[in-house]
Amino acid sequence: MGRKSLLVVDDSATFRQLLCMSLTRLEGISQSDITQACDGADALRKMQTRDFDLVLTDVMMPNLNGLELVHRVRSELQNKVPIVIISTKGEEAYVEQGMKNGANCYLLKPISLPRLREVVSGLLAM
Amino acid sequence: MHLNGDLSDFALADILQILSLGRKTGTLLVENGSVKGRIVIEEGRITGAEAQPGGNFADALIRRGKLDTGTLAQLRRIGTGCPEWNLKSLLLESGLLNERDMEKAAIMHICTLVARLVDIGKGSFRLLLNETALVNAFDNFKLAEGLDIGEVLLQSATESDEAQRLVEPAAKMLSGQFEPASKKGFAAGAGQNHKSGENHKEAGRTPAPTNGAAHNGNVSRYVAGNGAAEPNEPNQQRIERFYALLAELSANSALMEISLLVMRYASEFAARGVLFGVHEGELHGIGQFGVDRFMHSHQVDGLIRNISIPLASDALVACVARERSPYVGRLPRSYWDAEMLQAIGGGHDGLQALAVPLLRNGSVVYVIYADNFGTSDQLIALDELIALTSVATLALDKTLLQQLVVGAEAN
Repeated sequence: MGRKSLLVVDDSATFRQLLCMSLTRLEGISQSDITQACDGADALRKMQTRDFDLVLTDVMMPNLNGLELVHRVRSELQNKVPIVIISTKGEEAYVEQGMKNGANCYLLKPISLPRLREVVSGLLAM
Repeated sequence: MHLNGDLSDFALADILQILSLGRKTGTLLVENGSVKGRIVIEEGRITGAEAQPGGNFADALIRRGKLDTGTLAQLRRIGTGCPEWNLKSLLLESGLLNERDMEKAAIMHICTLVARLVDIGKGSFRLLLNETALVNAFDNFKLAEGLDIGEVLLQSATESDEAQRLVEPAAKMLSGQFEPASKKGFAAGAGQNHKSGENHKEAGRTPAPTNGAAHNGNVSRYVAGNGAAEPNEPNQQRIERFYALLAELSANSALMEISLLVMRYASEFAARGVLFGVHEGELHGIGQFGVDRFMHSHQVDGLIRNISIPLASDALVACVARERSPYVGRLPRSYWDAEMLQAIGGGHDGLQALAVPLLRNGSVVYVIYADNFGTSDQLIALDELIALTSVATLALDKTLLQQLVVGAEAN
C-alpha cells in the first residue's frame, strides 16, 4: 500500500487526536498522512484544495455537521472519496441519513482498533 | 468525621469488614512510610483503590501488557488540559480497550491493591467518612458497581494460597532428597545481609568473609542442592566452575557483560532472577532468567523492563542497593516486594531470595535479584556471592578506568 492521505474531522481536539493515534497504529499510516479539520466547513475547504484517500468525520459539529458535509462533498465537489462517519449518534434516522447522503460506512463510538483497521484498510484498498 | 489508628491495633481487613457491615461510605487511608494507599468504599462496597508510588491503574495495565509506556504518555498528552477526560475514557475512545476488558482489568487491579494494602501490617490508617474522591482521578477510576469487601478479602487470601500451592508440589517432591539447609549450620529462612539493615535483621549467621574466603573447600555447604548444582556433584567441579567464572569476570571489560556473568552464576542455583539497573533514584528491570518459565506470557522481557522500584523504598533490592551489601534469606514482606512479585509472579510464602549489588566507582549500578520460586531449595551461598561481587566490582571499576584512559588518549 503506497502512502495514503486521510482527513479526520471532529470539533473535539481530543477525539481528533485519539482517532489519529488509533489510525497511526494501523499498518502503513503515519501522523504525516493525516490532516485534521475542526468542523465540516473546515473539512470542505481542505478538500477543495487537495485530494484525500479517506475521510473520517464526526456528526455533531458546529458550522457544518458531518451529515451535511457528506452531502456537499458528493453533490457540490462531486468527490467520490470514501467517507466514514464516526459518531455517538446511533439513532436509525442519523445512520439512514448519513448513508443516504453518500457515506460509505457509519461507525458508532467507541470503535475498537480491530474494527477500525478492518474498515479503514478495506476502504483504502478500494 | 475522621478516625485515626495504628494497623498494629486494628487489622485493615477487620476495619474493611466493619465498613462493609455498616454499609459505610468513605475513604480508608493507609500509610507505612514508603507507601500511601487509599481504598474508597461506597455504601459498604469497594469502588476504588490507589497507592503511591506505583499503584495506579495505568501502571497495572502496563504490567499486564495491556498498555505500553509510549501510548500512556501519548494519552496523557492528549488528555492534558481536558479535565473531563481520564485514562479510562481515553482508552475506550481510542479503541485500545473495550468496556468489558477495562472493567475486568480495573477489578483485578483493585483486588490486587487492596490485598497488598491489607498485607502491609505495620503503619497507620485514617478513615475519612463520606469522602470518596481519588487523588489521581486521571490514572484511576471508580467502579460503577462496587466490589463486595468480603469477596475481595477472600480472593486475596485465595491468591496467597494459590501462590503457596505452586511452591508446595515441588517442596513435596523434593522432601527427603536433600538435607535441609538449617541442618548445615544455617537457619532456614534466616536473612543474611552483610550489613545489618533494619529490614534484614533476621536470625544470625556466621559472619561472611569479605575477601574471597569462599575459595576454600567449604563452598558447597552454602548451596543446598538445586538447579544445576546437584547435591552429589563433586565439590571440585563446582569450585572449578566458580573459579572459571571469577577469571572470566576479571578478564571482561564490558559493563553489561559483567552483570550478565553474575546473572549466569545466580542462575546456577536460583530458580529465577531479575537484573536491575540503578538510575536516577530508581531500580529498573533490565533482564531476567527463569521468570519466563513461570509466566505464560510472550512479553516477559517487556514486563521486566516495566518494573521500576524507587531507590528510597523498602524493597529488598532497594535496601541492598542503598546498603551496598548482598542479602540472602527470606524475602521481606514489603509493599514494593509485593509489587515486584506481582510483575514476576508468585507470592511471598516460602520464598527465599538473594540480592547482590554490583558497584562501579563506588556507586551501585546493578542489583541482581534471584529467588527459589517453585522449589523448596534454600539460597544460602552468601560467601560465594560476596567474593563474586568483589571481583565484579573490580571488573566494573576496570571498565571505568579503561574509558578514562581511552578518553585521555583521545585528547
